[in-house]
Amino acid sequence: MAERRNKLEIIYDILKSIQDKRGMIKPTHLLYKSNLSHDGMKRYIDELKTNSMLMEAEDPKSGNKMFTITEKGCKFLEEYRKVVEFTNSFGF
Amino acid sequence: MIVSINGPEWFYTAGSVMQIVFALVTLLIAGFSYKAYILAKDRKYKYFSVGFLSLAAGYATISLSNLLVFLGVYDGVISRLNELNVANFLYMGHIFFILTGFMLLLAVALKLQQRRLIALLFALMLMLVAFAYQYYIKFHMISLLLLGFMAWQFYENYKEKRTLNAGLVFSSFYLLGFAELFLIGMVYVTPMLYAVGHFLQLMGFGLLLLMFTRVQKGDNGGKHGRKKK
Repeated sequence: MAERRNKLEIIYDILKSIQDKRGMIKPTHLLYKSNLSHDGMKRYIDELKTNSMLMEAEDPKSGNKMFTITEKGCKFLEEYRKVVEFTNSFGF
Repeated sequence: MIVSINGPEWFYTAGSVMQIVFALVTLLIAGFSYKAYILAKDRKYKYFSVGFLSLAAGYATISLSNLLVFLGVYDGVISRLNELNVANFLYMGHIFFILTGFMLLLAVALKLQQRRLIALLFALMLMLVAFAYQYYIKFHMISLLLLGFMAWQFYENYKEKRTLNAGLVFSSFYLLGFAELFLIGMVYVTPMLYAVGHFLQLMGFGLLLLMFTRVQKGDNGGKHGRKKK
């Protein structure tokens, strides 16, 4: 059975999903990619918005609601990757 | 009386400079571990940070201690008795900080959870050194043991991950442990071994610094070596 993700890993997965989609993703796609319940995802999205790591935007073509990653969010991903690599190097 | 300076005379300055380098490398890693703690809010990073910070304090105090003795002997700036007392105090501080640092790193590496068990091991270790007749040898033997277990644990991690960074960590602690053998051997064979031990430590901390810079650059070297079947 897969290990349960911690809060930090979930935040990483959400931001990574957006970054992989060139910084902009539809809410339904994010729900699918982040593997969370609707309520669960909403809680994380609210927290990320409060921390200025994620923003709501409008797709210029379709006018649909989208989520975009901010510079702070990108910086978080970069730092998180370093911490993961550091942790893996020591294996703790 | 405690003698806080060891090794051949020509090595006094070089040894002190090396210890400052060790302090800087460990301080750098302590800083990053603390940053990781702020990001992840996971206590293991905090312990890791305190462990490396303790090592940094340990190397800084021994360097200062050696410089005090060195200056006192050659310049007569401070009265010899006074200067040796300060140096001895610093040397005891060095032992305390280094053993605390190694103990914390080992506790994190072995994923020891029970605080009381860690406290007991730590108390036993300190008592063994504090009430020892040959405290220098006891200190380095305990360090050898702790570093040996860490190197073993990091080797297991390297076998599992097969990344260059994991290999660098394992090699670094292996060298640091190996260096302890020479620092002990100095007492029985020749003071020259003290310098050899320090060069090995320099290589060990050099590898740790290399791993650290690679992590900062986001380079893990990828998987390498034979894969497990």
